[in-house]
Amino acid sequence: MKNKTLDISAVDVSGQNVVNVSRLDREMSVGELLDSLVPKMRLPVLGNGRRITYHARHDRTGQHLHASQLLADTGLEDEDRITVQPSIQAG
Amino acid sequence: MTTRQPHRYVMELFKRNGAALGQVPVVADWEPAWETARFAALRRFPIATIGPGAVAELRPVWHTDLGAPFVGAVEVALQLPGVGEVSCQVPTTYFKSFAGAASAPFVGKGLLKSGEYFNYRIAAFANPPEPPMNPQRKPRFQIEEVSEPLPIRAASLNDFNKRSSAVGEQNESDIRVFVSKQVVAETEQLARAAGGLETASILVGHVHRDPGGELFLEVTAQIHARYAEATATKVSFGPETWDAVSHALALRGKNEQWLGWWHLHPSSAWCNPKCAPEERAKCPLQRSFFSSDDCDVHRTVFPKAFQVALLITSTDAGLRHAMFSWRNGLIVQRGFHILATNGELNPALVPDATATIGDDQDEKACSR
Repeated sequence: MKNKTLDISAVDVSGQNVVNVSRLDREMSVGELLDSLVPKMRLPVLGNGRRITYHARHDRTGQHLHASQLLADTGLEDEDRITVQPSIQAG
Repeated sequence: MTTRQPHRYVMELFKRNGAALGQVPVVADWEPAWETARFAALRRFPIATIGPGAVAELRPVWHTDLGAPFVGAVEVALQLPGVGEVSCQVPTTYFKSFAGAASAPFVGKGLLKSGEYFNYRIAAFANPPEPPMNPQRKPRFQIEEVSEPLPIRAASLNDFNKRSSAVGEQNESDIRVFVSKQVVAETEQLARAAGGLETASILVGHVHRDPGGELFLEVTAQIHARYAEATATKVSFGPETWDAVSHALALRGKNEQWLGWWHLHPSSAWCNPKCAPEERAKCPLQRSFFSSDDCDVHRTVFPKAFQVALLITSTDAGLRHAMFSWRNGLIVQRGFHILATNGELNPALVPDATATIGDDQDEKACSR
């Protein structure tokens, strides 16, 4: 039987900012995780007055996780890593 | 690294005639300030990482004329146990990006017109003690920063200097940046092939430390953001872009780091083709500018104090180059060096341009 919580790591797109995330509630959605994780990774929430959208990529499987997915349904396992990726535009 | 903020900051806004508008609590993005101190420590001491025992603190530097509580700068002091202490100062222009949001309530009340210029000053007051944590509010997870060492290679700065030519105004406080001539040639080729659309790439390479202790960058390659969506005025980066870049970097297998990015402003294509050549030459759209969107990309994806942005502006007179990077928590224009390849000395210079940053005035200035 799986634990109720997960211990994973998260990294930004450049690979230069890494955090360990432990005791993650598997009933949390990917979107909820990102909302809490992004400021703690010191990534900006707002850009030019607009909210910046972030996505999570499951590095072991290469899958992009949907914001509404529960962590329990993502296939994430202990010691897995996610990459936090922004959608952003230059002009 | 633990961060401490013993003071809260307040912005006071004034009309240009000196009439006070009011005060707004400052909600600042302090990360570039913390990062300035982290990188200052990496430059000062022979270390590759800031350990978890490091403690950084923001301290107001009181205004020389007005005195406390008015702030002339903010000092970021970083203590590294067993290593030493560094401190750096961020100027009050650090708060400029916040000023727009701070002025919104006054525009809403009709005290300030939309687009009207105003002045601000910053004051600091001691923070009250933090209230105890509510034991009922259990965090849904725990987070711990991992102190990843910055891969630093040993190399001679003198050797790089001998094989390079300077482009743009050099500031001695900046980390020296060498971009290979091959990379510059590739960026120019992509810029010319972009067909009036914006285009972009990620700049990768190595951080070196000279035997004298000085850090410097070598940009060895550019990885084209081929899955970025480009229009004439925007280039959008999403998950597909980042995946492709990461895979390409892994395939190269050279342990190269993300050192920055470059993008193209196809200014010639923005200008009205019916305008006379002499009018087009004076058009604000043909000037180099690093837009507020560009600043956001740099802050979001390239927040490290050493990371750079190269802007190529395609003007009627040819391609113009401008480089930007962090300095004291702010994005500024800076010079760089072009590094010769194949044993060549003093590679040919590329035309540079002076740019504006963040205010988007040039982008809006053409009324045609």
